[in-house]
Formats: sequence, structure tokens, C-alpha cells
Amino acid sequence: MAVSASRPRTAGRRDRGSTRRRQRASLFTRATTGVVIALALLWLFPIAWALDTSVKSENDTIIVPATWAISHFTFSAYSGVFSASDLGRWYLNSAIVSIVVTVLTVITASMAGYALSRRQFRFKGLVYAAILAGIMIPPQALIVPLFREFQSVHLINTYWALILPQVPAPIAVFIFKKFFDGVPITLEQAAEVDGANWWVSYRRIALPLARPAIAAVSIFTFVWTWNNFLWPFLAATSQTMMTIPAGLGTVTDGVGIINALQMAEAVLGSLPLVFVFLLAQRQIVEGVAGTGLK
Amino acid sequence: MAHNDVRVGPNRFGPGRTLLSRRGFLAGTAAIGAGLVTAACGGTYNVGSGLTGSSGGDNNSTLVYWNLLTGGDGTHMVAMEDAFRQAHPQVDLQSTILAWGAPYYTKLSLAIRSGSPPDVAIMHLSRIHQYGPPGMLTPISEDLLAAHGMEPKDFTPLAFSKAHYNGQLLCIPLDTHPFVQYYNTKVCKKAGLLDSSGALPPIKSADAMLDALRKLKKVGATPVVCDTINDPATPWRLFYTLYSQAGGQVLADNGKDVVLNQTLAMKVLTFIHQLASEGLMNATVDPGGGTAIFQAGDAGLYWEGEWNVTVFQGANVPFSMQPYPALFGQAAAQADSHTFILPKRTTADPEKTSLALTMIRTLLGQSLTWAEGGHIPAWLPIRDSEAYKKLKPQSNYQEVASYAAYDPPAWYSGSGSDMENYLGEPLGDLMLGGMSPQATYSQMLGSLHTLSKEPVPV
Amino acid sequence: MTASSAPATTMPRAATAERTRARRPRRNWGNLSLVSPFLVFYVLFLVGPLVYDVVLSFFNTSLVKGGLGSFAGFGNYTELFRDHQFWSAMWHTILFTLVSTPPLVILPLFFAIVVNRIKRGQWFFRLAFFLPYILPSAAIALVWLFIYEPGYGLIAGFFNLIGVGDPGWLSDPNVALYSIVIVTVWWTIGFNFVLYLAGLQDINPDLYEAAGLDGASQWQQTWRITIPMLGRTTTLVTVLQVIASLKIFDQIYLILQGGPNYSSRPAIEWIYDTAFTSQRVGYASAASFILFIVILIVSFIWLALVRRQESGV
Repeated sequence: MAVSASRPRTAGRRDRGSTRRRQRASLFTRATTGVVIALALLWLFPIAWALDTSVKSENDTIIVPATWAISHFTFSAYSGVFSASDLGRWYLNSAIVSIVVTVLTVITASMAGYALSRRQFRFKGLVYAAILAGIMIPPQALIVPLFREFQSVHLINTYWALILPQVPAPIAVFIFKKFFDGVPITLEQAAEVDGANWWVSYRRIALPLARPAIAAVSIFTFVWTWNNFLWPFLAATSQTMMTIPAGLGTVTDGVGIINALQMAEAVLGSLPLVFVFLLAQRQIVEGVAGTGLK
Repeated sequence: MAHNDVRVGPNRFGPGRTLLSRRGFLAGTAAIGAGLVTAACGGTYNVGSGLTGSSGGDNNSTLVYWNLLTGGDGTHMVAMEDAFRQAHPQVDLQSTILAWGAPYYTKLSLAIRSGSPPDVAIMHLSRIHQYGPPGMLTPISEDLLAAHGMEPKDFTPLAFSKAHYNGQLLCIPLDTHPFVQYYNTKVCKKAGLLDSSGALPPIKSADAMLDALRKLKKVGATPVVCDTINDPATPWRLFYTLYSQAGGQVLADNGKDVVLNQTLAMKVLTFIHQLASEGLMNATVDPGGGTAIFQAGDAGLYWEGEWNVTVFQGANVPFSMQPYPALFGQAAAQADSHTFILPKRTTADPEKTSLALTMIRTLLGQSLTWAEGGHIPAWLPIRDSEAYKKLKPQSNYQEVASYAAYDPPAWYSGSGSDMENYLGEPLGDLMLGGMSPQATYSQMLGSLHTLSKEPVPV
Repeated sequence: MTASSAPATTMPRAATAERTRARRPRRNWGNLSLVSPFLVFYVLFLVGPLVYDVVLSFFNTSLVKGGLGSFAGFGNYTELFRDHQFWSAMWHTILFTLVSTPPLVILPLFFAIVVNRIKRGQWFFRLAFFLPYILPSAAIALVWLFIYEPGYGLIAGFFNLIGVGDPGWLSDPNVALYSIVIVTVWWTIGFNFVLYLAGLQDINPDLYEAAGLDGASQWQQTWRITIPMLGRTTTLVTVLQVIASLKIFDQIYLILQGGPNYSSRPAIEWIYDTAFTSQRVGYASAASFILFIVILIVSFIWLALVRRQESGV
């Protein structure tokens, strides 16, 4: 800040240099804002283009130069999706897997987080350290032994294989523990004095208090599980067991030009997540911020 | 960690700041889930099978069929499937198309190994060395064939004999699809290459081919188009066609030995190099681009598999097709066959097998539809019929089925295999003029040695 | 935390004393019961497989056969050292990380700073940048395959419009990986964007006021206050980004299948191919372990960085 000492700095004092600086600053701000607005629109473009293509007839998707489907659009691609593909079945599988994984994750992680935060037991420190270390284990590096595990008990291509490996989430335990750490103790002490055991204490006191954390973890787990590609791609070996990402990435549901069909599949496959996003936008965003800045 | 790091506190997620409370969200999700399950139970979805791992086709009126026919021939397959559905309305034929190449075969073998394979699937004949040895395919006895209206004499002898492993029939050939030569009649006429009947007489030597290409170049056409971009298969097919014509072998002992003949290979590679260096070949295209150039009428010759015939017919290109000319001695052309396989299940199911064989027989009866897509039918009753003979230009090259050069037997060879990918790369570079014949040969040899030394996964 | 054993005055003393005595062991088991469901899943599906992976890496296990196969000792590892395809794949992963991390750290920072100043309508930017992030990789792969399609794809059309030849986005080995970087930046920028926004909101606004009084321009404020104060967030974003990039698989497999000619195949796809196409489970396990170690090292570096930042701040 190159300012000479002779000029007094008082709030409200205006001089030409400062005005010009402010004008330049606001021009700069307007320019950068404009750039970001343009980029935001650009960012939305592929999605808009996919939506638009999904309502075209297949022949219209390959004309050059490309045009928007304003004058004539059709939903034939969408009707084609459900008749031609297994998308309905994949929806069911994705729903079952995502919901069950979310429920199991929330239950096991919240119980563990609560125990680590509030309860004493032998080896507590060791257990906590082990779970923390688990945050650094990337599941992608474990696909081979996991597949072998399930192969040896003949459970490949079952819901067990799809659901179980996705349940343990050390990060969720950490989130719950941190959350419970921040909750005042007194309620529980009163309950304990009244004779509540660990289970009642967890269910009646911890759980209701943990609503925000449960919401955040549920949403994240649901989204992440729905979108998980690599493991369901491996573990579902017949097309009737595939989840939506696995199905979309394996099966080509038509011959010849199928652009509109594929865009319709992409749109339909993403719909539940968009639904979740629109409903719980703020929580997702705050969840990202929360989990990130641990 | 500083205390202000703990952001997951009650004051951050106060109620009412989201459109939907947690309870509402969970309730909504449960409702959707319940709705889906109800809808599914109303349909043919069998959730129970998802818990026990049995495949979707485990009741006897469902047939699960996998194939990898994503190209133009796929539409013909769909038509053939529909014919089956019309003839057998009580059977639910569920056909799934997967992406061509290695992903298909990986998924197929994983499915077989996990005990939930499709009931019937398409397999390239060249892949029998990968699927046969580990016992992934159900053998088909002659009696079983006969019980469903098929006999060994009904099939192309070469393909049928290759469909055996260790004396057992493991797959049923549907077709032979060779590497062929398309030629634009109008352009070739302009170059003075056609005979009196308007057909291109067989070119009998490498020099004669060079001559013909030079003549085409003089009249301003692209002499020949042969794609390399994004496609290691086509360069391999060109090389292997010419190399087989010269009488060369690539592998021995089921792929454990590399017997690539340097003299013969160099002869072929030098010829290809000359095509590139003299500007006689446009290889700077991907499969779609190559098709487009020939379709636009800009090329005299086009070297590719025969499956583009309907594309060109639809675009009214003046063209015909013939077996790839024997430039290096004997008649040979790289080819593969689509076959039907019955993947092995954990427990044999004779009824399901019978249903699958019925489907195969029905589809074989539709071979004329299949032939329209360019492939040479392996089902002789159709191939020898008048209707097929009248099918021009498809029937022009049917003789190739008897001298087709299938990929050298190895667990790592075949359509879409590692060998095709590894060898196709330097061969493609050679065709683009970016590599010398010697360097191409060295790289090919190196790749083959690496592959042959890898432990056999079986 | 141990609850005080002060009995409630309403309960008879004997019963209370008994309950206190009996409560302790029960609490121990009860608490273990709280944590054991998670531990069961954890051991079965995270820790167990990791250990199993190490074990498998010392054997010539095949996907086809049961059991561990023949003992290989360090054979898999020595073979890995000589395996060009494996190191190419590792290099592709690392190159991808090196190329994609800077834009995924700098761009969202820039966006967040600008958007943070906008009073109304922040939701629009959050939607625009974050929406792609929640879409499944398979869906965005379909969309971008269509956009990159030579001939009638959007990008090809755009390039033709401006008269430039269309580079082989998906077919040129020199370009393909960068095409995926573009897709990845589009797809995942939202996550970092939101992280930065949150970090920005943490900065004490008094700092800006004071600086403004001292005559600092907006640019100077940004440069001297905002960016340094975002140091911790930036570290977090960078490390998370690096770790995520090292695990790259989805987009490259779905859009390129590791091609053209394996020129973009990342480490995890190599592992997948080796285990499930070439069916060499033991060999692939060794490679998985090496990748795991690499990711672990990066995580430790981050821990060290964070610790230093914490003590330094």
C-alpha cells in the first residue's frame, strides 16, 4: 500500500485518487462477475444440451450444424428407454442398494461415533485410531480382494455383494463423533441417573440430537452410493442386477444412431439425484463444507 | 484441531432452513422406494433372485441372450430376434447388447465365473481358445444338435471344425465375416480397371495392385481407403490377410511360441509401406471416416470387413465387393465367425439348453436376413440357396469362407484381444507412413514375445 | 467420560449401590455393542480386504481357480518393476493428476471469490457449478461422448465453425487424456467451489474493513487478505483433489476404455484389466498395494502439512 504519510486517513475522506481507484475496482468487479456469469452459463450448457437432445428424434441428433429442438420435439426416446432397456430394473436396484446402504451406514456410524464420543470401553483409543486410519484406505485399491471374498462365498451378483462393502465409512464415524463431542453432556447424565442403559441412551437421547449430522451423512451416503460405478460394475455380472451407473456404462441399448436414447437414459438415471439436490441443496453444501473442513 | 473446525453443530443446521426436513426427506424416499418395489413386483422383476444370485433367466420361459453387435449388423440381429419372438410368443427373449471388444468378453467371462451367465451369447470363433480350455462353455453333442434340427453337414466345414475344442463342439457358427475389397464401379471404370462385364477382375500380384492404385490416383480419386484411427483391428486384418497369403504363421503351440517369419513379414510390411509412401492409401481416418469417404464416391477401393454393405446400398453408391485379392500367392483373407455359445451354468438345466438351441436354430433359419448385412452365412441350407446366390454383392465373396484365415490360436488372440491391440498399433503407424517396416517388425515381435511369456490365466 | 456414581436420592441406597456395581461391566459391553456393528463391517470389508490384498500379492492367484495358487514370494513385485504397461498406467494416473489439479484448485478459488461478493443470486452459481458434481459418472460419460463425437458432435461443430480442424479429441493419443481433464474439471469443480465458499465465509469481515480504511484496493485486499486466509482451505482442496485424481477410473474407462491403444489407461484400470481380463489376481493385488502406498504417502504429506499449518497459524 503505497500511501504517503502526509495524507490523513480518515473514513469518509474522499480524494480523486480514491474515487478513481474505486471506479477501477468496480469495473474490475463487474468484469469478473460478468466472466463468472458467462462461465456459469457455459457450465450449464452440457446438461441443457443433453436434455435437448433427449427430446429429439434420432435423425435430428446427427444433423450438422447442430440446432436446438425448439420447433419439433418428441418423447420417443423416453418411451424407448423403458421398453428397450432394463432401466426400470436398474432403478429398482439402485434404490434398494442406496437406501439400504444409507440406513446401515447411518446406524452403524452413529452408534460407533456416539460410543467413541461418549462412552468408555476397553481399547477405545485403539479402536478410534484404527477407524481414523481407515479414512485413508481407498476402496478402489481393494476391488480385487473384495471380489475374491465374495466370489469364494458365491455371492457375486447379489444384493449382498452390492450393499455390504459400501457400508463401512470411517469418515461418517468421524463426523458423528465430532458432532457428539459438541453436544452438551448434562441431558445424558440425567438419563443415566434415571437408569437408562447404553441402548436407550443412544436411541432416546443421542439419535434425536444427531438429526443434523444424520441428515448430512444420509444425503452424502445416498448420493455417493447411487453414483458409485466401479464396484457395482464389477459385482453385478448380469444385467438384471446392475445399478444405474453400472448398467449405463455396460449395456448399449440399441443399434445404429441412439444419441437421443442415450441422453434420455442419462437424464432418467440422474433424476433422483437432481431431486435430492434440489430438495436438500443447502444441507449438501453445508455438509461438504463441514466434512471438508474437519 | 481448533474448536472452530467443528462445524457440524446444531446451530448450523437449524430446522426450517431447508425445503424439506429430514423426516420428510426420509419419508419421501421411503415412499419412492416402496413405489418402485411395488411396481417391480407387479412386473417380471424377481427381487428374490437378487439375494441368492441366480440369474434373471431362471424360469423356463425366459431366455437371456447377450451379444456385442452394436454396428449396422445389429439391426439385422434385432430383426432375427423378432422373428423368433413371433414364432415363439410364450418365450420371453431378453436380448442385451454390450459394447464390442474386450469389455464384452471380460463381462461375459465374469458372468460365467460368478454362476449367473446369460443363457446364450455371441462369441467370436477366435475366442474359443480363451473360453474353451477353462471349461466355460457347455459342449453340444451331435445328438443334441440333431434333436434341434441341426447337423454337422449343415455348416461351413472350416468354421465348424474350428468350433471344436478337444474334440467337443463348443459353439455353433452363425457366419464367417472376412476382410474384403469394396470397389467403386464408377471410379474404377474411369481408371480403366474394369473388364467387359463391368466387374473388377481379380488382381493377382502386389505389383499389379500397385499399378491399379496408381491408375486410380491418376484419375484423381483416393486410390484406397483403409482406416487406422481408433481401430487397431483393421491394420491387423490387412497385415494378417497378406501375411497368410504369403504362407506365414505367427504363433505355435497355442500361443506359447512366436514363429513370426521375418522374410515373409518384411515382404508384406514393405508393400504396405510403399502404399503409404507413394500416397496410394488414405489411412488417416477412423472407421466412420473411412466409410464416409467411400460413401461419398471419392475412393476407388476400400479395404474393410464386409459389414458396411447396407450402408453403401442405402446411400446408392455404385459399388461392388469381392474377396480380398491374392497378392502374395495363395488365396487367404483374415476372417472371424460369430458363433452362439451356451455358457456353462453352475447346475445344468436341460430345458433351458433346449430352449436356447431352439432359438439358435430359428435364428440360423433367418440367415438370409443376416447375410443381407454382409456376413457369409455358416448355415449351408441358406448359403446354397438361390435366394442367397441372388444377393449381390454379398454372395460375391462367399468362397472366402473356405479359405478364411482365422487369428492364430492363443489365449491372448482373437477379435478385440490384447494381441490385436498391441500389433494393430505399430501396423497402423506403418500405414500412416510414420514407421519403417523394420521398426514395425521389431515392435510386433517384441509385443508377441511379451504376450507369449505371460502366464496363461487358465 | 465416566458418569458420577452419585446415586439419585429417590432410590434406596442398597439398590443403587448394586446398580452402580453392576452398571460398569454392563456399560463396557454395551458400549462395545455400540461400536461393534461398525467394526464388523469395517473389518470384513475394509481392513480385511486390505490384509487379504497383501496376502494375495505374494501368490500367483488366478481368477479362474479357487484358493491362493502357487506361492510367488516377491515374484509379483519384481515382475511389476519390469512391466512397461503397469508403469505407463501409473504415469497416466500421475500425469492426469498433475494436469487436472491446478485448474481444479485455481478456477474454483477464482469463482468463489467473485461469487462471494455477489449479494443476491448465489444460488444460481451454486446450482451451475455444483449440479454436475452430483450426476453419476456413467451419465456424464454418455453426454460427453456425444459432445466429443467427431462429425456431428458439438465440439466438432464448433471447431468447424471457426474454421479449425477438429483435433482427435478421443482418437488422438496425445489429446485424449486432456479431453478427459476437461470433462473432469466440468464435472467436479463444484465440490471445491463449495469448499472455498465456506472458507471465504469464515474470514472475519473486520479484516476487510480495516484494510479498506487503510486505503487498500479491492484487488489488494483479495491478494493480501483473502488468499492467505484461504491457505488452509487451499491445502485441503489441493490434497483432496490429488487423492481423488490418483483414484481416477470412471471417466477414462467409460469414455476412452483406456485408449486409444492404452494411451490413457490409468493405474486402476490396469489393475482391473489384469485381474479381470487377464485373470491374474495375485499380480493385480501387488499393483493395488503399490497404489495404496502411493495414496497413503500423499495422505501423510497432507497430515504433516495440516499440522504445520495449525501450529504456524
